[in-house]
Amino acid sequence: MNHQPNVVEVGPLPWREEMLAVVRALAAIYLLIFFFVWGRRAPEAESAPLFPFQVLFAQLPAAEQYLFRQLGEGLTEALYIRAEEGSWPPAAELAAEGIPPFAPDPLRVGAYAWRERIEGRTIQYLGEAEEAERFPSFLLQIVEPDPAVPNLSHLRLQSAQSMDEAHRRLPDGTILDVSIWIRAGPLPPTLSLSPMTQGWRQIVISPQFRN
Amino acid sequence: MSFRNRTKLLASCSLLILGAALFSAPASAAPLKVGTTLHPYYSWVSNIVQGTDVVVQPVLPGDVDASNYQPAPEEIHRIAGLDAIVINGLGHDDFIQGMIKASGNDKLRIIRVNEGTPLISNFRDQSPNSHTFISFTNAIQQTYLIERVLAELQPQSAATFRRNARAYATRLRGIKAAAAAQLVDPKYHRVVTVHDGYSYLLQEFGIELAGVVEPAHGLIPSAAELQGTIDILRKEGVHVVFSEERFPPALLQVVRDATDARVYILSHIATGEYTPDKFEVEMARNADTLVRALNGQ
Repeated sequence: MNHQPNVVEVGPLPWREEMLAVVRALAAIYLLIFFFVWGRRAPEAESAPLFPFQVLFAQLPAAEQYLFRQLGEGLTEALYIRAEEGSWPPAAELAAEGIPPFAPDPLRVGAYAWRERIEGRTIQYLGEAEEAERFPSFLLQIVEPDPAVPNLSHLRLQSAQSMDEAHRRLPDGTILDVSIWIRAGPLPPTLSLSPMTQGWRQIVISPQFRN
Repeated sequence: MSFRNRTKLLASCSLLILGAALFSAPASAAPLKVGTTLHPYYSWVSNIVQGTDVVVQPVLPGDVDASNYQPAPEEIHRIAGLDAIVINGLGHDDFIQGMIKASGNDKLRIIRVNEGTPLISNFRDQSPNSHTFISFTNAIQQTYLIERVLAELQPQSAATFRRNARAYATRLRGIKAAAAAQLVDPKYHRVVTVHDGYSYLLQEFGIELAGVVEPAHGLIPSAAELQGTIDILRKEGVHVVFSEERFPPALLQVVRDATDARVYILSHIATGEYTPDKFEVEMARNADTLVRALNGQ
């Protein structure tokens, strides 16, 4: 039998097809690199955006940052008195003991006057500047738990170091809800237990924090 | 129940009671041991536990710079015997995590004093400034935090811890108030610091930070960066520079020669002997330095 060899002529690809093949190969490489890098990227922190009525501590001017820090100090002292005496100290009592921000401070911008307001299980310490149109008002709000309605979110807060920035724990284990608020201008004529409804903004330390 | 069974039961109960006594007695008799990474924490804890049997142990030798620290085996061994340790946790004592792991002490209570502390940003970027301990307000609140945790660990001393912490807070407030009274109408409000470690303290005295000489924590500035500081001092009319003892005097002399700024030394409270009164003494000195500097003395 006489077989003719099967001859196939192999020539260079037309330049268009060759270019297309190169582009495809590059696209595949870039795609692989992209997915490799994207996959290895560190997971971003779970950061929920702040509520519209919240403001970050880090974004406040220095004087307001310092007053917020002082309110944290004043809160700690008020908690001790509440734990020992069973009732919340008046702002005047804290001032008399030299506890900031209730005590007079010659360096404080705005010369604040402090008072307290108690309504049911909520206590509010309110600070209003002498020039209230120029300097913001401050509010420290503490809410005691209702014994008739156990708060399940409080169960995880068992030790002094398991607190988050919205809670404090009394030595008897009682968990309190606490928040610090700022508001441009003077105090409103009547005060609500929901400060955000009256133009108050809650100051939060962590951008991840939503109460 | 037969006589033999009764005897077995009695023997078992006796063994149980003896075992419980053997294992529980030393634990309750041993004093609580609390370690500290930084000098201020040693002072705070020492003041809280004064009058009790609690032992306070610094982890590092006193003359070591914590930012360049390499742990020695005996220091890791020391951690193995601690019940609790007070740490900064923001970058000042990163070495401690590895030491704790190496010590094998899995029952150690770690007291991170900066949990819950509002953090001011560094001057050059938005990262948190870890020098929370150079501050009166933070010192008071963090002392109280330590006190609360120690009260959980040793409830029988809780009242003493509380009383001591409160007395300490009152003394610190006294130091701050005395300085504040002398700064009601200061000559200068704006300053430059060599090290970005004093933002909390400056904020507490209403002082504005106009610039920082060091490009990053502990780094010596280049000639260009030093010139940048000199430009700030000249352009913005800043007359006060706060430096530290460890900063090269030759570089400070360049600043002195090129501007009319005066240089004052602040304490970072980071080296030297560990003593209960170190924090009070050095913060009082810092407050006095602020008063002199801002009043142009």
